[in-house]
Amino acid sequence: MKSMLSRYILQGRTVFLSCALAIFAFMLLRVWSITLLGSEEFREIIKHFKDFEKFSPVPFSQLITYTGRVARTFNEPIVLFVVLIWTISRGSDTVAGQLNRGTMEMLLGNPVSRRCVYWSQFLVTTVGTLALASLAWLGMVVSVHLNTVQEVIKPPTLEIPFVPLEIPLSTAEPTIVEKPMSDFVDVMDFLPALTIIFAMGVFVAGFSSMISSFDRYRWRAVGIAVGFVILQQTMRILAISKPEYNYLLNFTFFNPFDPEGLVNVFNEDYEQYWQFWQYGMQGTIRLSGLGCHGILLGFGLLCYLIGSWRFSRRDLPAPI
Amino acid sequence: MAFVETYQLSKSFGSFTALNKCSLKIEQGSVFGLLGPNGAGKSTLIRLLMGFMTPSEGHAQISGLDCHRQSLQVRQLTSYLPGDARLDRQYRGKQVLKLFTGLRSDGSLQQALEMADYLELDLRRKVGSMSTGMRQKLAVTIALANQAPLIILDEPTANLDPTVRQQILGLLRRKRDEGKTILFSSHILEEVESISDTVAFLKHGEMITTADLSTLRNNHRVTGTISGIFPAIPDSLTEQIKIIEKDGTNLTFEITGDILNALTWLQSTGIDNISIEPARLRSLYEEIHPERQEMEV
Repeated sequence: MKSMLSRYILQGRTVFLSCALAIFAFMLLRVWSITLLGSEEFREIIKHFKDFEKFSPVPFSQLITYTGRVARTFNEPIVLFVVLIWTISRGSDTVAGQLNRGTMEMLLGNPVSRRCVYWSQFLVTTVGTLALASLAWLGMVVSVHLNTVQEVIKPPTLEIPFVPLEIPLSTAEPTIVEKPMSDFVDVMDFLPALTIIFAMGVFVAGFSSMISSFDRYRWRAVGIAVGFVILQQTMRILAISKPEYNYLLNFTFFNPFDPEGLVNVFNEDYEQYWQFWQYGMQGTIRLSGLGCHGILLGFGLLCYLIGSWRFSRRDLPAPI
Repeated sequence: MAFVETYQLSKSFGSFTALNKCSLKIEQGSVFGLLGPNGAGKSTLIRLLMGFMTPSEGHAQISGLDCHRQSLQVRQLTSYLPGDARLDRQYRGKQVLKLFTGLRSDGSLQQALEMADYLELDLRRKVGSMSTGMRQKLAVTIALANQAPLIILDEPTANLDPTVRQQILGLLRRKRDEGKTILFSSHILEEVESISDTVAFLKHGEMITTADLSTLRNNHRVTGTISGIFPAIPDSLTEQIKIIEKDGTNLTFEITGDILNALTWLQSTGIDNISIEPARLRSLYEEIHPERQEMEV
């Protein structure tokens, strides 16, 4: 087992280091970019995109806060892309990759069980996924502690009830103060983003490994896994664009993969976060923290189990 | 009980039968050569013994263990070199040896390093930058650097120059002398003949025959020319003399056992230009595969 683990670590090392660097640097820069635009300016911009609020996993009122904006960074395509590269590359290598390269036969010529080969890959891929998700979070933490934000402090005003009018109580000009970003953001609030990225990674790695167990060509396993991800994303877009396709949300893993939404629930309603379901204002039911994680991890592990079952029973084709 | 035994072992892929009802027995401590052209079923037989595939019919056992159902235990007793041995290209030679010897409880890095030294392998090089022959030498080293009682090698000397072939055969002889059982396949009749105790011939997935090489070594092949009519072989020699080929005035015989009586009679028939050579595997091979006489020797 130890030899197998070191073999797979060595094999995945380059991809992992590239992904780790990319995700950490991206989060560092992306969170820094938030500081370039004050909350007030951001509120002004986002007002013009009210029609697109339905595409946002959280209400715009949440999105304009620093917490909401930082949570958004975990749902950026680059974060998703990096995690997908790692999980699909390692998952597809589990069986098909080694068969494709012809190295499986040499390996299984030794007293090594197929389960050991399979689950060693699982362990390395899973730990790597957790490390990548943690690095995304760590990049955010470092950036939050390194950066400052400018806040505009307006002179006190008096709001007239029922009339959209504010009467200044002072003639002083608004003042701009610079504060550490950490004053506005608690980094621990984003732990749900870390864990849901990890859970999504486990799901995609499990799916890729399962496909890999049925195939002998790695390129085909990668193609199927990438095609599946694109299809799932298309289903999500379709579901939130047209109400009549809303049911498609039940069939896409991008529904439970909702870092912004989970950060929101985690902070707004901690008790609710630990439920499987949560109820919306119109009586709608959607997955809560436990549900999102449970679905992704559960299906990911199920895929892994199916893959293991298949691999332990299949004929090993001779190297091509 | 034989150390390796297959009974009616068959493997089909759809309508194609790669191995058909193959039964064989290999005694402990013997060297068993598998011969046959490409597609004869040699690798399929070996891969079934290793438990890589489920037999379509029949079963195989190594030391009483079922090769398919108890594959892990079987592989503990077996050291294996695939026909197309491929190694991770990004590793250096020494890393590969360390990895593979670490996979076995009886693996020895020290033994592997000594063997690599004997084969003049540069272990600092990455596998990807090694020549085909060097990679094969590395794979052979991996396969032999342990104490498994059974060694299964699928064409171990493929891609190797004659000097290295001899080195590999030397290693196999050493293993044989240590009492290991060796099963190996090859296209090269000469090397099979030089090391094996028993050989089996496969053709189109079927085991055609097995031959004991110590018996075969007692046989001779005699060629000569005759000008007149060749007389009938006397009853007392029909068991011993067999006409293999008749091409015009040229005749080829195979003589089994004591050659003296047979030669005396042949001389009396008026045959000229007699040449005698020990019967080799080649003659047996040509009987089985008359269409493949151009095979490498």
